[in-house]
Amino acid sequence: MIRRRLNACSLTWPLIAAGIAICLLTLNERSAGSLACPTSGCRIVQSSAYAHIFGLPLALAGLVGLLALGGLLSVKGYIGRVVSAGLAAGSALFALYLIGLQLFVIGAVCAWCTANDTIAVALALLLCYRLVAGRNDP
Amino acid sequence: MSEANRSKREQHAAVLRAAPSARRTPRPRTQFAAAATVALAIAALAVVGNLSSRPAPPPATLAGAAQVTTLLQGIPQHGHSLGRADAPLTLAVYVDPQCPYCAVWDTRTMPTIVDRYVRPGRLKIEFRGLAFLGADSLRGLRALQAAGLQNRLFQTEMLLYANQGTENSGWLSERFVAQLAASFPTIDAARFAADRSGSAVDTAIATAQAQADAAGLNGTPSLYLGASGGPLEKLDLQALDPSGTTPAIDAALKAAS
Repeated sequence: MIRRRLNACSLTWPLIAAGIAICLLTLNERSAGSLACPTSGCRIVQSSAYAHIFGLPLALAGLVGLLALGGLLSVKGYIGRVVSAGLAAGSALFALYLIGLQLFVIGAVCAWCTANDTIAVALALLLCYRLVAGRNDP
Repeated sequence: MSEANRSKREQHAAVLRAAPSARRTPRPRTQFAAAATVALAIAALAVVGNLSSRPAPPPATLAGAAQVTTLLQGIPQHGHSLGRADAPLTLAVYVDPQCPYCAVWDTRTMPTIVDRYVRPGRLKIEFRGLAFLGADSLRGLRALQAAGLQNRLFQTEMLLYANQGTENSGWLSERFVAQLAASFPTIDAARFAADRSGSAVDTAIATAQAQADAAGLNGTPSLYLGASGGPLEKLDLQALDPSGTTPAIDAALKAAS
């Protein structure tokens, strides 16, 4: 029962995060006003020098990461659990780095980005718990 | 004895039966270490990717841009000509971007000439740039002529001379040229970069060189003064400060009036 819930959460949260990432990409492409951003810092963060990774918008890279995570969640066995937990934990560390950038370097907060970062951290905790709980499973 | 052996064999067989599945799943500690390694690798890769995607900082500006801008503020500038088109006198100035005497003349005398003669509309200056001191001179000259295509030649030239380094020491680099353009917000950097290698700059440089050859020029700075539209005569430049140039201009103005 608990495992079924874990799996459901593991699949639901990436979907929410993917939705936000798509919204952020749209916000990036169109000139969205302050209404779209509760903290009015979205455009500042999205147009900052830190809004890309290897030349790609961060939201697009996030989508790619979520797709990879979705693929890994469908892999049965300990390899799927280990790699998905690793990917999620790495993403969470990067999300914390991005939150730090917003607060201490850019000086503006993008609510949508922060929501996605929070989901990344929560997802990492969830998948790490899944790894610990299934440590003796084949 | 045989009973004990049988029991051991059965235990061993049980271990062997259990072994394949035990071998398939690594110990929890190994799993956690693998997950942590994946996490750290992904986080490090992401941070590196993020930091390396930052655009390069814009080139720093050069010292003295504000003073030069103020000096030339409001004075008409067209291509390689500074001053009103109907000014009665024309002063043609042959210079090389790396020539140290040109820099001395430019920094000491140009401000006086601009204030005293060009701003009131009594004189216009024609820039005739040459590049005979090396490849860096040509780089600088192309930059000046490209700025001229945006009617910003004279501030660029004065700023270049204000920041001149030792001849052929590498100071007139691509970075310096970028800084030169970045020092003036009114210069379109993209157009400037494209024009530097364009045919209009080639033509301007060739024209100035042909004029210098026709005049039999033997050094820089060389100044030629005369009534606008008429023949220009070489100035005997005795000093690089204003006292070497202004008496001749005053005399020419008196003769013209």
